[in-house]
Amino acid sequence: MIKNTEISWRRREYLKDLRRHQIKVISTQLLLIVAVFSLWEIAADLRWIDPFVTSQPSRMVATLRLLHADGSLYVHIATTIWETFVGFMLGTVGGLIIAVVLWWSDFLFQVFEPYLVVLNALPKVALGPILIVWLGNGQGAIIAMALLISIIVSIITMLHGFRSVDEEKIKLLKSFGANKFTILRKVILPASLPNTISALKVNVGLSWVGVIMGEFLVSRAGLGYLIVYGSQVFKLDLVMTSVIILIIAATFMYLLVAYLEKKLIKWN
Amino acid sequence: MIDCQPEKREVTYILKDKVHLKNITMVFQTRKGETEALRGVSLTVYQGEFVSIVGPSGSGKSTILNIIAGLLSPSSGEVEVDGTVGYMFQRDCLFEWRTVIKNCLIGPEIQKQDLNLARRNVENLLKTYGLEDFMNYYPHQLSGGMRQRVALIRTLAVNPDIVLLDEAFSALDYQTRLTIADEVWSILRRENKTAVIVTHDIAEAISMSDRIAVLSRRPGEIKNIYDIEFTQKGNSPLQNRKDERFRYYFERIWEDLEINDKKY
Ligand SMILES: Nc1ncnc2c1ncn2[C@@H]1O[C@H](COP(=O)(O)OP(=O)(O)O)[C@@H](O)[C@H]1O
Ligand SMILES: [Mg+2]
Repeated sequence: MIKNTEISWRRREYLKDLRRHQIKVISTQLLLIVAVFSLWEIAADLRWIDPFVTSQPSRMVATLRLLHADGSLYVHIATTIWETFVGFMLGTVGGLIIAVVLWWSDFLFQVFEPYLVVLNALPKVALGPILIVWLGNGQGAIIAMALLISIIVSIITMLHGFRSVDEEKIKLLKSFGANKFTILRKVILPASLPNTISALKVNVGLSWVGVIMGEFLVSRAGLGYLIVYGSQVFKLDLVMTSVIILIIAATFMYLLVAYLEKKLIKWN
Repeated sequence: MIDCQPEKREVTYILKDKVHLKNITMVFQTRKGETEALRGVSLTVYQGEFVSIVGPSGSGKSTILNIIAGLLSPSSGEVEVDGTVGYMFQRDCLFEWRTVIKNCLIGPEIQKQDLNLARRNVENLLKTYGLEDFMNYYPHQLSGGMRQRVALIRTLAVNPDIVLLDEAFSALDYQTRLTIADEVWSILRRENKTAVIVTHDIAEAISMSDRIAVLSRRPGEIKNIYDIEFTQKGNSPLQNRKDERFRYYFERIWEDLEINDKKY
């Protein structure tokens, strides 16, 4: 390493190249989006495609204005986000609790392992109609759907993390006289935090899937409802607008978890 | 370090045994079958003594330490351990989410000791052994040798009477291994500890110990015990390696191990 406090010209060149490269990547990304939307707009204007079935950016903006004007935009967004959040939290916390129990008791782990594998393989969406019968035609069924989709994966990922914590670290704590609860608190949970957070990242995505599926089945409000309703009355503007909002909301929620990760894992 | 029992301060010159193993047998049961790891092992370690256990891998060295530490109970035999035990492993096992000082405090934390006192104690140790500038670093920012020193201080933080070292230096590169072994040795001597050292490095064992027990292949039996007496007493391990009797012990132990395992 060069110990000069002054940055060498080589390093300056290198940094400049690096920045130039980054700018190139980001501007291409932006350009790509602008190009797609412009092409979409123009193609629809020139009737290369039929805006009645493909919609069009300008029509989407108009739709957005309309939804904004009567305030229903926010009701739908809030409904979906709330359902996703609750489903996500229940799936994560429930998954964590069950994973801890299965880590604690080897007997229970052995009993439940095959069931977990089967439940994981099952497409949870197939249970949607059952949930509706049991929980009624409302938010309960939607949240249950999100919960069901995310909880099994949560349990499996977190448990795997718990069980792969370095045996020698556990032995170390035992040599200090630690009991099982102390081992859980001092090593199992902190050591598998990175793993738990990647489970959260997956969970966010799965909760969205669960909620939108749920809203498709039992729709009264929410982005999933707007999409289904829009397609039923053939208002593709509404469908496309809702999809775009969904993309933005999902990205936002993912970024939130990524931020949490950065905050919590300081040691890397 | 601070012994608060003034009324018990009579000086005794009788060697007090800290660890006493008598006729230990250890048989592990697993699904695949039984493994007889130890057979009829008897070993006594006296106050302030450094005793090494050498033997081929799988001969039950770690098992002996686990028994002394109370992590395992033997299938038969008697175990007496007088005092508290600290354990050091081949890997430093530092918690990467804790800073150096927090890593050192894990023992006192678990044993619910007075953390302010423990912290002061650990800070002193870190200072004494050249780590005070790294107190708030995370383990990944340290070199292998420094990490192993932190691991030692973590062990000392609970002020154990007996320190068990299980191949504690074998993960380090050669040069670091020699210096760290030397350092750890002098730290343990200075802190007046009793040590049981497991290693497969004959030279390391000879240079560090007062006594060496040689284990046979599995099931581990004690084949031989050597009292190490150098011509020059009170030298450090590094100096001991140059002692004229070093070679003699080396050859004897080497032979013991060779006879019992051609591959060694
Ligand atoms: N918990 C255990 N369960 C089953 N077998 C074990 C266990 N611990 C050690 N063993 C077996 O006992 C023998 C001695 O192991 P160990 O004490 O680790 O040897 P060393 O430290 O000398 O290499 C090995 O054959 C090992 O496979
Ligand atoms: Mg071993």
